Amino acid sequence: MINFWFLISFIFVCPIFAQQSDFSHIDFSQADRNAQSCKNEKLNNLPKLINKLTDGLPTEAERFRAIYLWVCTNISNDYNLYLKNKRKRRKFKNDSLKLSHWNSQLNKVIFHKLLKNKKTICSGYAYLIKKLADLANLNSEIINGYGRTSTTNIDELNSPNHSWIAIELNGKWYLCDPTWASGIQNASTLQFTFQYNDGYFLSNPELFAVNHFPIEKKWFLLEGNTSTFNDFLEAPVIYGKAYENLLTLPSPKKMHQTIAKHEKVAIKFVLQKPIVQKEISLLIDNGHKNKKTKPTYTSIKGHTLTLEHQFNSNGFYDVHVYFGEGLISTFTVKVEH
Amino acid sequence: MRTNKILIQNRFSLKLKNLIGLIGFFIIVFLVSNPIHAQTDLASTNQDIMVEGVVNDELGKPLEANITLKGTKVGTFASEDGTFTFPKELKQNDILIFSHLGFNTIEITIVENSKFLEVTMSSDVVEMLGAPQVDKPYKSKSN
Repeated sequence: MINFWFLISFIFVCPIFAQQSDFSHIDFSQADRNAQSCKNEKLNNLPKLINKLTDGLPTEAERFRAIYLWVCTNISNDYNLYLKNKRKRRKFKNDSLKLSHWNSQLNKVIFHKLLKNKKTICSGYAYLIKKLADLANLNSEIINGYGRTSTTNIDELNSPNHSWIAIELNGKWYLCDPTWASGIQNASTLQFTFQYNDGYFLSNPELFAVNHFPIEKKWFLLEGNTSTFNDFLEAPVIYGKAYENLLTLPSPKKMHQTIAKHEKVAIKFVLQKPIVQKEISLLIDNGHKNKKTKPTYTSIKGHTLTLEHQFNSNGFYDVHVYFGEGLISTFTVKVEH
Repeated sequence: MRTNKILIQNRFSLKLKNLIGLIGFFIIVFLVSNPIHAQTDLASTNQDIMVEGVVNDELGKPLEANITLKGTKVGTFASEDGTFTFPKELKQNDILIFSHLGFNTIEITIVENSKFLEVTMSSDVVEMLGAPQVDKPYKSKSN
C-alpha cells in the first residue's frame, strides 16, 4: 500500500524533466544482453560492433542503451593519462597555442589507447558513445564542463575538467555520465574497478546539476533559472549512490552550514524508490573520531524524505548521509555558541 | 470555278500528306531512338560497379578504415597499405560509409566513374578532459 501511494505521488512529481522513468514501459533486458554478448568485441570494426549491439532492438532508447552499457562496462579509466592531462592543462592554461598543440597530441594518444587497450579518460568515453551513436543514426552531443566529486579541490576548479554525453531520444534530450557510471578509480593504488552505476543513465537533470556544470547553459536541460557557478561550487557533495536513490536534493543547498548549539540542521531528499527508515544513518566526523548515529528526526512521506539532526556540542563536523552501506551525500556543520 | 476548287482541294490534300509524312517521320524517329536512349539510361543506373580504392589520413598515411554499404551489413576494411576492394558490386547512388576510431566518418555516393576511390579521412578533434569517479568520503581540510 505504501508503494502504491509512493507510485501515485511519484507520477505527479516526475514527469517534469527528461529522465530514465520516461522509458519505464521499455524492457531493456534485450539491450543489456546484446551489450553482454559483445564483451570481447574490439574497436577496430565499429560497424560490426554497432550491428551486433543494436541487433533486434526496435526502439531508439534500446539501441542507445546497448551502446551506452557496452562502453560503460568495457572501457576502463586511464588514471595516469588523466593525471598527465591535468598537469599539462594547468601548465598551459594561459597559453592557448600550447594548450591546443597538447590537446591535438593527446587526441592521437587517446585514440590509440582506446583502440588497443580499451582505456581512456572522460572525453574518450563520451567520444566513443557519440561515434557509435552516429553509426546507429542516433543524435548525441559531447558536453564539456565541470564535474565535482568528493576529492575535487574546488579552489583549483578554474577550468573545465569533465565531459559527459547528451542523447536525443524520441525528440527529447537526456543526460548521461558514462565515465562515472563505468566504475571507481582508486587514486592511491591507481586501480580502476568496473562497477556499473545505472543512476547515470538518463539521469534527472536537476540532480545532475548538483555536481555537473556544463560550459553551455542549455545543456543543463532545465527550464527557468539554472544554478550559477558559485551555487555549483557551494553545493553539498553527492556520490554515485545518490544517483541510484535520489531524484533531487532540495536541501541543504550548501555544503557548509553554520548553526548554534542545540539547533538542528535539516536534510530533504526526493526519493526514486521507497526506503526503510532503519536503513538511514549519519556518520558524523569531528576530525578526531567519527560516530554512526540515527538522525534526531526522520520522516518519509511518499517520495519525500526529511531528516533533522541536533548538534549539542560546539565544533566542526563532516556529516555523511548513508542509506544502508551506500554513501549518499556529505555536508559540513559548524556549531557555534 | 470548279477547277479552282479541285486545285485548292489537291493543294490541301498535298499539305495534309506532307504533314502526315512529317508526323510519321517523327514517330519513327521517336520509336527508333527512344528505346536506345532508354536502354542507355537503364544500363547506366543498373550497371554493377566494382569499387576499389585507397584510404589515407590527412598526412597521407594509410588507414585501415572500415567500409560499409549504407543500410546493409555488407562491408570490408582497408588493408595495412590502405587499399581495399569492396566485396559487392555496387550501383550508382549506393553510399559507402568510411569509419575509423579517431577520424571523421565520411559517406561517399557511388557515381558512374567511382571505380577507384581515393579517400582522405581527417582526424577527429576532441577537447580532452577527465575527472574520474571516486567513492572516497569527503574529508574537510580543517578536520
